[in-house]
Amino acid sequence: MSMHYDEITEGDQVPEHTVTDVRGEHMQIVAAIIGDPNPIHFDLRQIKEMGHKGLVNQGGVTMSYATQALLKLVDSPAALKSMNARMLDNVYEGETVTVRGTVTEKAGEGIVHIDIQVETDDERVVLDGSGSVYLETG
Amino acid sequence: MSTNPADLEGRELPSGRVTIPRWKAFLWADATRAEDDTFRYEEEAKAVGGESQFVPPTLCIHLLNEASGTVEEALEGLNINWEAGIYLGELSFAFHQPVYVGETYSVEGRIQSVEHKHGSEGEFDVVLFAYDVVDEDDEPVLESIKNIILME
Repeated sequence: MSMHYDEITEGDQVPEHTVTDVRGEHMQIVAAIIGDPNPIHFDLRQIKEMGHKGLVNQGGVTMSYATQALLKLVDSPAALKSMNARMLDNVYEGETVTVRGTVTEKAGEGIVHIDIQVETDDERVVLDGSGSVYLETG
Repeated sequence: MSTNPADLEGRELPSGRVTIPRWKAFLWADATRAEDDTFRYEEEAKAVGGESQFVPPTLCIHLLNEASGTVEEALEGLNINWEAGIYLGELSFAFHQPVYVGETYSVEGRIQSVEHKHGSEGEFDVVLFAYDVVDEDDEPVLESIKNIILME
């Protein structure tokens, strides 16, 4: 459901977006799509030798979850103006993550800036970022 | 002979042209659990004013790499140690227009900086890449910054 610029106020929380049971097979598909040779996304034997507890989600995929929370506010992906993400920790297969966002600025002409965080179910903040979207006006 | 990471600063990456095919956008949407079918079907994208099927915004990281070379090619000369760990540290996109399946885009990229750091996990290098993407009419599509962390 898209939102109108007049419906939103600085300080508002945007609707949460939760991804349950992040799947190792999806990490392997993403590695194949983009030609990512990093074994932490597909090689169970090697990640155990490296001390990880499971396959590690691609940072770009965790950022995708954050982006989806922003896109829930608009009718079309064309309304995404910008997105920035700092990866703070790993997301492992089997974990559940929740995206939370706060409106930090209504910048005029429908542009809204939103701070975004992605947190695991054991309360690790794995991504800290921000994004901007064009909301409907008039 | 191995290159010093600091010597990578200013390196121009290969420029290139790239087109994202329908299947990559579709499968990326599935694998990232995107509910939005505008990333899967042209008619869904046109229903919300798109010109054709949208490329998921974060799949643009692939557009950048596909056009300007893999991490291994970009960091040619370094002894990349996958077992020590290579991680995406930060990624940003600023869009001037949507990115569509089937359209051809031109990418120029460079290594903007390399910083050697010491943290709780040990020594590492942070390599900052910057990219500019334009369409077939040379109109700006997006700018992107990403940094990659190379553990020693």
